[in-house]
Amino acid sequence: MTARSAQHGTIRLERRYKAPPARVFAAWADPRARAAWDVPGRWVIAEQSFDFREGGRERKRFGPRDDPRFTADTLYLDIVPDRRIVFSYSMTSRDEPISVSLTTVELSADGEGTRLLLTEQVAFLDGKDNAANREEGLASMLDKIGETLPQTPLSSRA
Amino acid sequence: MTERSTRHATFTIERTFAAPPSRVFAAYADVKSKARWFGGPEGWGKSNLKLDFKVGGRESESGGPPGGPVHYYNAIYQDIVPNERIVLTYEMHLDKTRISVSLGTTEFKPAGAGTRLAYTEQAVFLDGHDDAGGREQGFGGLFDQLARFLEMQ
Repeated sequence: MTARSAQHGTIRLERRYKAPPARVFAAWADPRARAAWDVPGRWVIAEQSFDFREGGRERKRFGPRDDPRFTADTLYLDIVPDRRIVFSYSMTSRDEPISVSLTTVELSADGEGTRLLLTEQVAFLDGKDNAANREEGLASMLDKIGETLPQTPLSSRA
Repeated sequence: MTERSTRHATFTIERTFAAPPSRVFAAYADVKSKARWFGGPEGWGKSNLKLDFKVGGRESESGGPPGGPVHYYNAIYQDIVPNERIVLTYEMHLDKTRISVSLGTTEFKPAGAGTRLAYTEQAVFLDGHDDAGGREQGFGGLFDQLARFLEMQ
C-alpha cells in the first residue's frame, strides 16, 4: 500500500522576452506555437489534445522519447487575453498521481517586450516529485518559449 | 479597462473529529451528507449542492446573505484516495465576477478513535478581491458545521 502524503509548495519564475505580450500569449493560445515548447528539455509530446478556453480541458502524454510515461490533465480556469492565464494540471507517471498544480501566468508590457511571471502552487503527492525538480522543468519550458518566439507565426490572432 | 492583479496565498487548517476517517470521508463523498454541513452560515438559505464525486467530476453550490451578492462555488475533483485524501480545484464568483481560483487538499488521518483532518488551500485572489483571511475564517466555520453534523449522526 502506498504511503499517502501531500507536500505543498509555491514556485515563482520570472522571464523577460523581446516579443510583445500578444505574441507571448500566443505561445499558449496557438496550438503550433505551444507544441514548440510545452515539455522540459529534450522530452517529447507523444499525444496532446488542445482546448484553450475557460473551462477547456486538455490531456498530454509526454516524457523521454523511449518512455513517455507522464500524463498531464489541464483545466483552464481564468483567461484574460494577452494578460493572464490561470490553469490547473494534474500529473501522473504510469497512472500513479504525482502532483496537482494551480498555475498563474501573468504578462505585462516591458518596453517593446514582455515580462512574464509564473506562479505555480503545487501539491506533490506521495513523495513522487519535489519543488526543485518541478522548478527546473518549468524554467526549461520558459526558456524554450524565449527561443521559439521569434519564429512563431501569430496564426490565430491578427 | 479592468485593473488586473493577483495575490497568492496559502493556509492550512487542522481539526480533530471524534469520528473515524471512513465516516469523515463519507461526509465529503455523499451528496446528502455533504449538503448538511457544506454551505454558508445560518441565514444563507437552503443548500443547493450538486456533487459528482469522482476524479474529473464537478461540484457546485451557490448562495449568499439576503439582499447580498450571490457566492457561486464551482469545483472539479483532481485526486481522490478513499478515506485518505481529496484534491480539488475550485473557483469562487461573487455575482458575475470570478474572485479567486484555489487548489484544495484535504487529508484524513486516524487519530485514536477519531480523525485528524488537514485542509490546505493554495489560492490566487484576482483583481483586488483579496480575502485570504476571510476565506480561512469561512472554512473554519464549515469545519464547525462538519463537527456538529458528525456528532448528530
